[in-house]
Amino acid sequence: MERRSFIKAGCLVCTGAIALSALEACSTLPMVKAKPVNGLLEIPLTSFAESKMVIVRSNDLDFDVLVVKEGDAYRAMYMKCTHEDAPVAATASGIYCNMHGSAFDLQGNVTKEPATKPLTRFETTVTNLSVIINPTKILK
Amino acid sequence: MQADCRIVLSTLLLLIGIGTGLKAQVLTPEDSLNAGLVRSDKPTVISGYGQAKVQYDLRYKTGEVSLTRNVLFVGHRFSPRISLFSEMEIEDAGVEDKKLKGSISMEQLFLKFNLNKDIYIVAGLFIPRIGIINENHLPTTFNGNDRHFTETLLIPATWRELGVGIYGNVRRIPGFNYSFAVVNGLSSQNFVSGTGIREGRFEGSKATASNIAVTGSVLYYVRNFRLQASGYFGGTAGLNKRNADSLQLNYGAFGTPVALAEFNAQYHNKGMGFKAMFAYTSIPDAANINRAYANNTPQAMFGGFFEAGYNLLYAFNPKTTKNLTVFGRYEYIDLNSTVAGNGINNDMLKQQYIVGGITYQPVRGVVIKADYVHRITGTPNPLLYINPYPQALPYYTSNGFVNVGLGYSF
Repeated sequence: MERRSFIKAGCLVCTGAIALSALEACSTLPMVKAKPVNGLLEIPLTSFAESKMVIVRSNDLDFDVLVVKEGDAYRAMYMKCTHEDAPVAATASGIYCNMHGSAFDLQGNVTKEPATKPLTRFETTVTNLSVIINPTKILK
Repeated sequence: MQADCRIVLSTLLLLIGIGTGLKAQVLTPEDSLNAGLVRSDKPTVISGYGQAKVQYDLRYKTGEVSLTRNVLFVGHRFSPRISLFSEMEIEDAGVEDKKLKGSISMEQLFLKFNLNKDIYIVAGLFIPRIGIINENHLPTTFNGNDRHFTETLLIPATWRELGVGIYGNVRRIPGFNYSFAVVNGLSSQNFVSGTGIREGRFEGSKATASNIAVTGSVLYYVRNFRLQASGYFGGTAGLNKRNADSLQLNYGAFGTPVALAEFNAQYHNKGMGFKAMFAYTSIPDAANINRAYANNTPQAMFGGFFEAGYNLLYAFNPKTTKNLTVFGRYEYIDLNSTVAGNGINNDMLKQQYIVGGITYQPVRGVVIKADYVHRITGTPNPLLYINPYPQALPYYTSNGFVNVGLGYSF
């Protein structure tokens, strides 16, 4: 293969990937700041008005908590990679660690190593007006 | 020939036996910084990874088996904001006095400072975000026993240097990450023709600090794509003025520079995986380096690859946590695409690799790999060989290698 044709083929692949990615609109996930009361984080249900995913930030936690709404249920996951202590980022298609490339689905299950364990999930309860996250109760 | 085959077969069986043992180890629960505790009371972590392989050379009809590497990771969290990460690597099962068998080295040793929940700084010996394998080099994360050849010869993974880096993500654009780092530079004196810039790395050992390098990356997770672009620019002549002048080399922070640009894209969805990469290296002062050190440094190199794979187990059970991936990869590398005026062209450095094989993971953290590598190169330039054939073994421009190996990470 000639240098010119190799570079051309490489550029074509790259351009295609970028074009595909551009199909997805960039949208910020809503963030709710919460202060624990009796160790519990309370999030208003209205936070999910525009998105099924909300990031919960608390100064009392080392990492954020991602809450995903699925029907009437709410899943709370600790945004700390189970591989090497790095923060993970949530997108509409999954949760990713930029440090070593681990990937998780929106249930927190590993879809790509090096992480071998799912994200930590916290117990949630739903009231009429809010979702309550209990960071001390870890779901197995 | 039959005896060779028997030896290789026995070794494979031995390796598979070892693999069964490894599986038992991984299933042992271990405490971790990240075991699910919001505030861990066990801040010290021990983990590791390693791989072994047996290779059979179809042309020379020889086999080799080696414990390619074993890495011990020790991490410690001093506070919620400050952690230590260290990895000590033993390659090819160690070193012995006066026998150049393997090596022991620090693969990483850095402190990580969390500035906030989105941004952190690392300082020490770390691996900048350049290419795929550099950061994601655990054997359970890539197909094939050998790391991508592009990322061995062109991007010298694992490429660690001493310095400071900042990493973060842009919350307004979910999945968008960036990094920027300042690290020590390279040594053009140690460049070896045919290995790119690999031998010019210091890897944390008495590096020259009067020449430095900057490197940066953007990484974007979007849909099921992982898109990354990165660059590196650094000096390769950490000399004092007198020495630099006598060698007629540009010195200083970015004197006699190396520039490297890389783009890669990955796609993973429904058991399918695709990877593509392109990398280009420029050494504009290659002629000066050759005049000073006579090491036939090229002025430019480039290469890349495309890989496709599919997890067959996904077809039967989309929720499977096991992995039986069949994959194929094509790589093209030209390690002297532009030769300096005083350099010597060597067509042997125009290389193609066609790789195919299977990756089996009976459980997360353990991998058994089998692959075939077909290497096609140009003809070696006879001017570069002091003892040509028949004194030396004949060089085959087309050769095949069968590899079987094991790996683990936890």
